[in-house]
Amino acid sequence: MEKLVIDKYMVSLETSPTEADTIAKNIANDIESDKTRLIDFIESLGRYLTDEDTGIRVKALSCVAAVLSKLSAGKLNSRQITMLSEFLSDRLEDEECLNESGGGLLALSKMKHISTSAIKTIIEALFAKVDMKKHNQATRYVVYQIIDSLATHHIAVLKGTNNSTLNGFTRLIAGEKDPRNLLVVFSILKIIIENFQIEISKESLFDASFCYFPITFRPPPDDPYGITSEDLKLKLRECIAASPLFAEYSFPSLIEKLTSSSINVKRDTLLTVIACVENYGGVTVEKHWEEIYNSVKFEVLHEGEEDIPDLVCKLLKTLTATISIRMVRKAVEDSGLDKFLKTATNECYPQIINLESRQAKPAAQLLAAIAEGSFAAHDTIAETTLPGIFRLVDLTSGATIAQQKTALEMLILFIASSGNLYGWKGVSEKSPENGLLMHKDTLFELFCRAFVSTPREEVSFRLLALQGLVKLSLLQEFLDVSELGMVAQYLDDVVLTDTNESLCTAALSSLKELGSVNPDIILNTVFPAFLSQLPDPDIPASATSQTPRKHYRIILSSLADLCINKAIYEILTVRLLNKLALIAKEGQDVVFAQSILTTILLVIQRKLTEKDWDLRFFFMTLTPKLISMTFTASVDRDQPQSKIMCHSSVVAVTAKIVNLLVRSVSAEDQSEFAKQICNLYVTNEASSLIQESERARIASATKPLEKGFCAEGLVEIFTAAVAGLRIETAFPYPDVLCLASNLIPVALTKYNIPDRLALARLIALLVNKWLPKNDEQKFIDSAVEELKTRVTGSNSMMEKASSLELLAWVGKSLIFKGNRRAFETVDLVLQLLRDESFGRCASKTCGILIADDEILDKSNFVIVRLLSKQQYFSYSIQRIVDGFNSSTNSEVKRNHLVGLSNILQHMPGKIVIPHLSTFLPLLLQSLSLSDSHVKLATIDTITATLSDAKDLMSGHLSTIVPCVLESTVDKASNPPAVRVAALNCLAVLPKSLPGEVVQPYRGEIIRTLAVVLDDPRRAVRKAAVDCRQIYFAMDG
Amino acid sequence: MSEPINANPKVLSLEDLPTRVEIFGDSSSIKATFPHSALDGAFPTMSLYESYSSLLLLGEDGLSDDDIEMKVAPELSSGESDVSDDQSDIEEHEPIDEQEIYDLISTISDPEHPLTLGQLAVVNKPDIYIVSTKDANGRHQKISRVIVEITPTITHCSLATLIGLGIRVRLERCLPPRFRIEIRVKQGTHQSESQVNKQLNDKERVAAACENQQLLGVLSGMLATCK
Repeated sequence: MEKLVIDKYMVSLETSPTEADTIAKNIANDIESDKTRLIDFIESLGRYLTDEDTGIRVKALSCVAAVLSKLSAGKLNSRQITMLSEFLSDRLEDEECLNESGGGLLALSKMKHISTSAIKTIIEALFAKVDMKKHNQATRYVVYQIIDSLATHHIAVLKGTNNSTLNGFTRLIAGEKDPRNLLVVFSILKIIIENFQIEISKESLFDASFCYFPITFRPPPDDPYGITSEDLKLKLRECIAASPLFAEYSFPSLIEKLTSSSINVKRDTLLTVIACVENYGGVTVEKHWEEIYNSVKFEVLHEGEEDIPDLVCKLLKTLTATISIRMVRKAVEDSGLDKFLKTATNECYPQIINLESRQAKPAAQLLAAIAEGSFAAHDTIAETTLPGIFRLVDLTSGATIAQQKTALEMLILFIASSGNLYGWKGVSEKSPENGLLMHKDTLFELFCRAFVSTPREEVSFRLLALQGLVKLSLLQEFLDVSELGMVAQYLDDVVLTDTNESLCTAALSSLKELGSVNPDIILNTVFPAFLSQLPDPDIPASATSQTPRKHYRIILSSLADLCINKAIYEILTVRLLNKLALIAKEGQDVVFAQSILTTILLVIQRKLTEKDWDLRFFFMTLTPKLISMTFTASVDRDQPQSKIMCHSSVVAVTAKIVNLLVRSVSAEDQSEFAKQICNLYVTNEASSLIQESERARIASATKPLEKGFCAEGLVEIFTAAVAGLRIETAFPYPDVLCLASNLIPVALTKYNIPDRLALARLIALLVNKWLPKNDEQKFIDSAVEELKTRVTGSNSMMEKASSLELLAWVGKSLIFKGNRRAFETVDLVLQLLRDESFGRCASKTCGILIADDEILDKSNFVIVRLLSKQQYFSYSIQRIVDGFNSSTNSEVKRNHLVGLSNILQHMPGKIVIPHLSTFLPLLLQSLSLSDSHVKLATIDTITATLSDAKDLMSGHLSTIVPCVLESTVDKASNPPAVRVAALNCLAVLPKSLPGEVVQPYRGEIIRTLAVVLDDPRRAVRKAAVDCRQIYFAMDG
Repeated sequence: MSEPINANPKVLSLEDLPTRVEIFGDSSSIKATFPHSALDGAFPTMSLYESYSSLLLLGEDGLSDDDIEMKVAPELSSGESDVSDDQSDIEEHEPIDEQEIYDLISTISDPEHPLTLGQLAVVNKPDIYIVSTKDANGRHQKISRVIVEITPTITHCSLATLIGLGIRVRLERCLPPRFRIEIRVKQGTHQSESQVNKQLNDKERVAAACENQQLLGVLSGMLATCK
């Protein structure tokens, strides 16, 4: 062993602690691999360890500690450890080196082969030689860690030293205040309390722990250890609750703390009492129930602050559970439990049966908490207390609604505790027979009566009755099937006929809850009831019942809400599609047909966002079914029964369903589907998506993508399906360039909206998702160029417009993809803004180029570059501003303003704000346009950017306020939406801009809005009232 | 704070307060009445052109007049189009009714409880009257009267005047000037009924009260909870 190494260590300890650490590591490695013997290492430190100079001794010992801590736990043998322990224990006398010698001992205490004698040596030396008061918290921490390590791993040895350790330790920790040290102290204390014979010294041990209660520590803002007061509270709580021997001290002391005025102390105390009750065991706690109960009951009976009553309830529940041990269903005569129940009941019962009293409900809450503690307590209380409540509200009692309400609330408390104890359906396993069963019929009848025979206006009362019925239904092994059916019927009835919103919402969510534990209820009771309320073509509306029906949309949306699992949804789908087939025959109600499909769609949408179900099953079954239905109807489009399925608004929903389902499955599942859908549309071959009997006929008769083929809507389904395909799913028709190019002339000949939009989207999708780079250039050079020529060259307005429309979609697709050549199209559009006659189309195109679209969207695996919107905006904004300024023609100026507003509609605030100063003058000008779309977009932009561009906006307030005020006035150019937007804009002014800037306009705004208070539309008046109130409330 | 005058008032649950109820089956009002019918939002509008107009240039019949402006010297502000979705927007008139008045004042806070006047049943919908005369064309005359009768929680409530004043200020701020506002204590609900009534409807006294800064502070606290 080189002395040199040691010297180097001692030098670097001052200059570079990391280097010292590396040296120690190397020495440890050498010892580990037996290159150096331990004895040599110690000897080479030799004289340093006993040097006169304290600094040198500290460094030498620190070297020992560092090396030892880096050795593996099993390296040193028992003899070596004993030798070192003796040496280091001896060094403990050297007070200046305590931190270092302690570090060495800490390392030794963790060694595997440490002997009993070594342990005793260390622990005795610590107690004998260390005077904690002389040391800083870091050094004390080392000492505690040694004891903690020994207590954790060698408790058996320490137990042998019982009293000396006990006393030594309590002496050692006296006066400790540092939170990090206390955490260790508490955990050592807990080990000692749990393992040692503490009978003799229990009081001093209890005092040693309890003197820290309650913990009021608040961590400093820059606390390096991250210790919270909650950590300390928990550890201390464990100490106090560690032994039942403490009971005689802990309960009285804790109860005394309950009188504290601090809610935090109260909370901590109650939690500690709960922990004690839980840990001390029934025999001990039985002796103390009375003092505990008497000291906490007031918090419930007199409705204490915040969560204190709840904590007391939890305590009473735990207390009951603890003293009920050994008593199965009945309290043993004269036992603690028996007395406890009698005392509590005698006290609470008179309160409970006085329904007028404010304390009736708290008293019930208290008893219910006790009842939740054990079967014995529950059954006793159910037997003694409930009949009294029943008598108060039976038919002859003549109780008022308010009194009955209190009674129901109390009963619900008992039902809830019964459920928590005996178990709820779907939550808990099988449980013993519920003690509440003796009152089942009474309870059920009572709540049914309360619900059925109360006038409908008593909403909160009926809500309560409903809540009770649902709770009863959810009790494990309680209501039978017919009773559950009755509850479901009541709930159905509310959803189907009641006009009160909160009742309907509560009933529907209750049905969901019931259904989730008992799906049969939904299938057997709810579905038939709901479906029978839907309009039926076979039964004329006049022949149905007298009560007015709710709109079928409410019924359908409730049905959608009830689809709590896949099986139920599958059945609902089948029934709804049957209904659809039925009404399709009539060929009348398109909106109803559309609504039915929307219901199916809605569930898929929800489950897709919740990522709740695997939708593959529905993809496999529902997609072909819907496509087949639509195509079959399309082939027979002359037949009256086909009209509905082919109606554009119905197809739109069908397409949406197809899109979502395709999107939800893997590329593998998609590839076969992609092939079949191409067979159907592109190559016009027999496709397995069509039901077998129709396959051949449809393949020969339907060519939806061909020019001149007229089958409105069919393309929309193809576009939706293609949109759902993942990019990894190879497009089954290999020549995408050719397909996309060929579709352009087809698209140009279509005049109905759904087909044109579907084809434009389809081309955009193909270009974006499957066109390789060089094909993309080819496509731009040929197809796009040709479209441009049509736009600029044609004499027909129609041709110009339809070509520009397609061009916009291709451009949009390329902008999203990040192809710079897209801006060639943008250039053309911006240039067209100067065209007096065609400029209006161009201004609209400005918006189309960047508008969000549900099909051409990321969710459909479309490539959308992160900055595409920003690029488009920064490219066009300056050009629009320049175009506006350089023109004198008012029509051209207007086109630029409208174009700007069409772009702004689709831009998030953070993109717009940096450019705001460039175009704010234009924005303000467009407020004076009478075009309401432009106005709305402009006002919304101002509202959205106000708070992010404070200075700029403040400067223009003199222009903004009058213009916006003008937009609040009721006239043709200000439809309600504009008026409300303008009022909202004014309402955020005081919040967004500094008070002194807005102040000058306060009077004018308040005055002008007085007129708006008489607006014919209620929503506008509401906005005006709220807005005006904000200005009234402004200071000044 | 001093002991409240009525420490233990009767409180109505929010569910029991009157709200605007629409008639059955009227599809436009379904959403307002049953917000849980999420389906409404999901239904595409029947008029397809409306929803597609920001995505396409051409309408169902080709270009709309709006898109081609051929005027020789058009004004900068010409060419109107409408944001309205349906025709009903244009001429629909929803008159100010009792429910609307109730909604305006029932959310005012009580000066001594953290509850609203609606919850405390100080303000009740049946005690709100709108009196307006109609002219020969069935139109409402310009001047209308609103009468609100308040029910103090106890008959000796000294805060009745303050509450009445709060209601008056709220209504003066929220109703167009053509309404004449009258606040009264409901008959038989207060010991010094006539005195309170006199105070509440005396212009001079109300104006004087509104000059008092401290009183104004209390009032704006009461009105802060208005929805």
